[in-house]
Amino acid sequence: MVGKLLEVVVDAIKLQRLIFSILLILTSIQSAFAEMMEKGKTRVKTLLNAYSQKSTSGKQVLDNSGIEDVLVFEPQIFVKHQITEDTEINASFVLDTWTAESDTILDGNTGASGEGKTGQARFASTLGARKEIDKASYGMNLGFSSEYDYTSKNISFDFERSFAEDNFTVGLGLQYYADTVNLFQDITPATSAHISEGFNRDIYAINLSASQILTRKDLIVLGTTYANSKGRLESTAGTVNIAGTREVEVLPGERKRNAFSAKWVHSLSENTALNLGHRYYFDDWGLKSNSIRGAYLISLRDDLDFLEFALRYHSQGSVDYYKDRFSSTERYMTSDSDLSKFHSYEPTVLYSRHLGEYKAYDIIDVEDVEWTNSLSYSKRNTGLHSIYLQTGISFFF
Amino acid sequence: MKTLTFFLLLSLSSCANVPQIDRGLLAKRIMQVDPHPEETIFQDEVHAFREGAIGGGKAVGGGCGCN
Repeated sequence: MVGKLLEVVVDAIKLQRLIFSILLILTSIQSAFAEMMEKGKTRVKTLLNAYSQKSTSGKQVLDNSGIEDVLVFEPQIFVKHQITEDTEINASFVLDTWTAESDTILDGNTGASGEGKTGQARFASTLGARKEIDKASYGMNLGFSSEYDYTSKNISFDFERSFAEDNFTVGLGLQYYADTVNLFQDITPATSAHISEGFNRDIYAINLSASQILTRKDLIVLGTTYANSKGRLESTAGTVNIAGTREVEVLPGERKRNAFSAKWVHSLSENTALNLGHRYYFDDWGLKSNSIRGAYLISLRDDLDFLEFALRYHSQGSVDYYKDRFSSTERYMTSDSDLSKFHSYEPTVLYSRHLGEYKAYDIIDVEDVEWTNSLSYSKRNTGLHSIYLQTGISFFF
Repeated sequence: MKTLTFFLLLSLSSCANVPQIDRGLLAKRIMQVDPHPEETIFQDEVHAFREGAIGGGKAVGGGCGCN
C-alpha cells in the first residue's frame, strides 16, 4: 500500500517536472505562427466515413465462432468560424451507427452467429476555440460522447509556438477524458449475461511535438506522447476461454503508454512529394509496436487538386496477459485480438478535387468547394481485414 | 526527459533558417505535414481502437467503447 502510494507520488513529481520543463522551454521562445482565416469567414466540412471489418479469428468472442465483423457509418461535420482577426471558434458533430457481432453475442439480441445488433448509435461533439496572441496559438476543446456502453466527457488544451522566422515550431497538447464504461458480467451461461453500470475510466495524455524546416524541400516533425489510463480498462464484451469455460477478461487498472514519432516531408519535384513517418510505441502491459507510413503525393491543376498513394505497415507484439486460451485462471487474462501479436498492411488512395464556387437559389453562395474521397484496405496476417471509405465536401462562406 | 531535451536542442541548433521567400515548395498542399486533417481523425481512431498502440496523432484511446 505504502509502496503504491510512493509510486504514485514519484509519478506525479516526474509529470510535474516534465510539464515545468516544457513550459520553461516554451516561454523562452520568441515566435511567429500559422495564419488564420479572414474575419467573419466560416469553413464547413462534412465527411462520411464507412468502415467494414471481417474476421473469424477473434479469440475473445464468447461462442468461439471468432466472428469480429463490424460495420460502421459515421457522418461528421466540422465547422470553423473566425470571430475576430485572431480568434476562431470551432465545433464538430459525429453520429455513428454500427452493427457489431461482438455486441450481439452477449446481449442475446440476435444470437452469436446471426446478424449483428443493428441500430446502435454514438453521438459525439466537440466545441472549441483557438486564439493567437503574440504569434503563439492557444486552443481549448470540450468534448462529449455517448453510446449504450460508454460515456465520455473530455477536455483538451493545445499550445503551439513557432520561432526563427517560422522555421521551428513546438506544440504541446494536454488531453483529459473522464469516461464511464459499462461491462458485461456473469457471462456463463450467456443467458445470464447482464451489463453493469458506470465503471470509471480516466485517461490523461500529453503530446509534445517539434517541427523544423530543414531546407527549401524538407521538413521534419518529431513527437512524443505519454498517456495514462486508469480504472476499468477491459473491453465491454471481451471474454477468455478458461479450460472450455468462458469468463470475462481481466486487465490491470492502469496502463502507461508511450510513443515516439518522426515524420519527414520531402519535395521530389515541383508537383510531387514524399511523406514518410515512423512511430515506436511501448507500454507497461508489455506491448511494443512499430508503425511505418509512406505516402507519395502528386499535385494537380496548379496545386488545386492532389492525389495521395499511401502504404501503412503496423507490427505489434502481444500484451503480457494475452493468450488464445487459458488452462487455469490467472490474475490478468485477455484474448482480445487487438492486443495480440500481429502485423498488417494498409494501402490508401486519396483524391482531393477543388470545385470552385457554388451558387444556387439565391441563398447558397459558397466558395472554394472541395471534394475529397479516400479508400483504404487493411489486412492482418491473422486474417482480419477491413475496408473503409471516406467522402467529404468542404466549403467557405 | 533527457531524450526530449536532446531532440529540442538538436532541432534548435542544427538547422539554418530558410527565408519566407524560398518557401514556395513548402507552402504547397502536398508538402503539408497532414494535407487532409479531418480524414486523419477517423483514420487515427480506427488505428487507436483496432491496434494496441496509440500516439503520433490526436486519438489516445478515450471517448469510445469500440467493441
